[in-house]
Amino acid sequence: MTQKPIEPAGQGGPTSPNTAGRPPGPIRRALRENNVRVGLIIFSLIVLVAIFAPMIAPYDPQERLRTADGELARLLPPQRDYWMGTTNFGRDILSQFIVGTRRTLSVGAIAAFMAVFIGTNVGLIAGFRGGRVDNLLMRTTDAAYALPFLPFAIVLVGIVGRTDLILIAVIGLLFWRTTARVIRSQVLTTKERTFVKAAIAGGASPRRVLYAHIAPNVVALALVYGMLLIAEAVMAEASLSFLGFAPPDSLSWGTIMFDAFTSQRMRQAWWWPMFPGLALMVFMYSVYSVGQGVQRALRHMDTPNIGPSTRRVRRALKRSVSVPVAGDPPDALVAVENLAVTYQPRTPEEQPVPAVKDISFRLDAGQMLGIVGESGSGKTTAVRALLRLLPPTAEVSGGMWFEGRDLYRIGDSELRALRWEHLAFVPQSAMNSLNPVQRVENQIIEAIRVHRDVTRAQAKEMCATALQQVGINPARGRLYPHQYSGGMRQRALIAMAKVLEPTLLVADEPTTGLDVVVQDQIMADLERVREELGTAITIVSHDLALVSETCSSLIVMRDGDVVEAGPTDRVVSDPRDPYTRMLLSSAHGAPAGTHGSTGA
Amino acid sequence: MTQYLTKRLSVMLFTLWIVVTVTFFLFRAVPGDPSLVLIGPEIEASAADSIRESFGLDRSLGVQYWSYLTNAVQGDLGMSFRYRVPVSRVLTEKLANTAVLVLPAMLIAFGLGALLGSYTAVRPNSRVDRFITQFFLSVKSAPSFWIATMALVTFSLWLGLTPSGGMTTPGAPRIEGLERFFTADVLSHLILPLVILAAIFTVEPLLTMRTSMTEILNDDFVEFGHAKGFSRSRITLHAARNSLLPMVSLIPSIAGHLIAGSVIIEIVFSWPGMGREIVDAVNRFDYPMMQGTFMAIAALAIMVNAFADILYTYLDPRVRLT
Repeated sequence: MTQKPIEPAGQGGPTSPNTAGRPPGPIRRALRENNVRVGLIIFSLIVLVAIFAPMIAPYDPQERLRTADGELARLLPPQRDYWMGTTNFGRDILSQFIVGTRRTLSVGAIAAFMAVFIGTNVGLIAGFRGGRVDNLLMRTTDAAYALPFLPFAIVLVGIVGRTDLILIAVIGLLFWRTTARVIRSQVLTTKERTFVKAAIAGGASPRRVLYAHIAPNVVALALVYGMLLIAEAVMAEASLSFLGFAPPDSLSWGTIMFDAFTSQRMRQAWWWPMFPGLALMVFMYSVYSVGQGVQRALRHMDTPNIGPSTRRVRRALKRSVSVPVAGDPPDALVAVENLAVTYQPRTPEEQPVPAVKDISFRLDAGQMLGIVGESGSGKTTAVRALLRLLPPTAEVSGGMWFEGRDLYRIGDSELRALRWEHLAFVPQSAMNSLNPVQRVENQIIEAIRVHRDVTRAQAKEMCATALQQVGINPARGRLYPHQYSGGMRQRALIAMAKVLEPTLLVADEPTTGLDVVVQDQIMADLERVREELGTAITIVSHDLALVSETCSSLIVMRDGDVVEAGPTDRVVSDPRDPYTRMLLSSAHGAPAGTHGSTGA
Repeated sequence: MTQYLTKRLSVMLFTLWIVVTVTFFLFRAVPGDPSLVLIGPEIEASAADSIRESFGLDRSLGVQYWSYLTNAVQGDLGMSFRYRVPVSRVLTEKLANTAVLVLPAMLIAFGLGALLGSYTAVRPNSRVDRFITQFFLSVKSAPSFWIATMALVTFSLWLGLTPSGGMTTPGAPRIEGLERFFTADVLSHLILPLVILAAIFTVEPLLTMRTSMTEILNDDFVEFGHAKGFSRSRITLHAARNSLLPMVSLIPSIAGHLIAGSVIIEIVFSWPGMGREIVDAVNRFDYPMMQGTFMAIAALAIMVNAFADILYTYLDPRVRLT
């Protein structure tokens, strides 16, 4: 393949009309970061030094300089005339450094160009063709890294001799893997876009589609990886030169270091190896800054988000909780008074989101409450506030009591002790909530032993009983979560939640994504927990018909507001809010049999 | 599992065979008469012929390749020009010397990387996080030979705290066997290169651990841990256990870096290991030594990669059973 096909890509660039009107690509997003900009500036400065080297260098790098009194200027420390000092032959290190930049960069750039050229084309073809071609090419890329780079280069020098060709060939042949991988995945997303489909439908040849329509969209990315590769190649050249494998009489940052190292004068002349290495470090650092910025942008990881930390929530809460309702704590098991939750924006451009505006309810032992609403109605946020599981950006106000304690006034350790023993939770995503690399059984045993001082054997016994009760053969506790079906995972979570016989169990969408038979089993499991242990249960669901069959009271939410609340019988038979009526009618209008089996 | 093991090991053997083959043809592609390469240029023509015959260089390429392959499998890598002993014997000693330096460095690197990586991920953008990340990014940016050289200048040449290179003080009594590494003399020579190598090796594990831990701390099971009333340290441990997986899968992609790093460190500190040997062999035109050392290093890298893949499937049950 010749160099030709990639040229139109260069003219199209990242801002070709194809990409206009879409959210900014990774490159543009990366350019908003300051260290990316600084990195680019340093990179360009070093390139400029390489280009204008002979004009900038104060002396001929090979000239043996003499001081004013005619002495050879050997091993002089950095000073006004020699900014980086001189060598033991009286040569100016700054001039060597400036002229050496040229070789350092040009070898790096040629090698990197070769690697990027191979990598981009492999990535383009592998991603575009897919199937067997893709498989074969990706296997080859893996194999290309089986050869350790530096020993391979050293051996080649040993066989062929000291030439620049070795370095360029080795880097070109071994370093294209990363580029190929990144370009390939970019092609995979690009080829699904409308303009590519349109081009194919319009009868463009595959070759034209690939190079005229897809390639322009990946060329910016290829450039960034090219830059990273230049850095790698520069480092590789420096390493080889430092080992003494540069062609004779060549001058680069690495050869200056080699001369310094072999001179046996380093104890005296610390400046000699100092500056070329420092320059390499600054150069690499600037390139890495750019590369990391782009990778961050590719991963959409602009602000790293950490898990909920109760301490941070509490700090935020101290500011936001309004004065709790005066008087004695309510005597209900759970009391929620005028709860409101607002998500504060992460960036100045965004608006605060009021997720829950005002909700109050009480719940006593053995009662079952259903909170119903569409997604975005605030139902999940409300129960998460009750569990104190909101992210640090959430501001909570209102009062929340559990067993007579103000949930937002107790300390972390008190809350931890309360959790699971008294306050259990069945989360929405059973798959992701179980630790993927731990056996289900061990996860239940761990939850028991964190709270109760029992032996492992006793905990295992308790776990087996709990699993048995939700219809899972205890022997299957030895399995890992991914080996369970969706229904089994959900039931394992219920087993885990009930094993310590809590007073309150909150289940967030426990039946979502499961088929009707399994949904009924789950609801029956929860009902049994309530009957046997007298546990109060709160179920959050979007399915009004399903929860109305088991729950004694209902709360219907919409856009953060409570639109209807009351005993289930009353809400179902005589809905006062039109929204409830709508939910009810849509549930009844559902295909026959959806919930029929529950009545049996 | 057994099925996977057989598959992965046969891929490993196949890659080894490719490397051995590439090496064979590489060393026959030397410009000029390949026999000169194996015999050395300064030998008389008649002597050269007899040696050529004894090396089998007068036979066809196919026959040569076959005997080369069978010899390599048996660990026979020819005689070193320089040491006048079998290459394999030299390699055994050099390999042990390298292992003494590289294995502890790798252990420290992965341990420290996992520790600091999870610590910084739990406290993102804190002062400690910024310091650690910036420090190791600087180490990553700086050329390893420069860090090593400056450390040598500072600690050995100026402060005189450590010996200035080598593995033993010249003239020290030579001890055979593995006991030779456990003398105060060797340990004092080991400390500086070991610290430098460990610092260089720590970079990638640390950054990988930090990234994967940051992602995993957003997973639902971490929040569920809070809901279960687990302490923060317990939750961090769970998250760290899950973040170790990407670190293991990192090994193959950084094997090249690790090897390059140890070659450089061995050169700077004159440590008599494999890396120094391959550079010496090139400088002395010791072709059998060059070929043997290269094959040994490549084989090691390939075996470590296979080991890492197998370890990964052991650590991640999702991969193991599907």
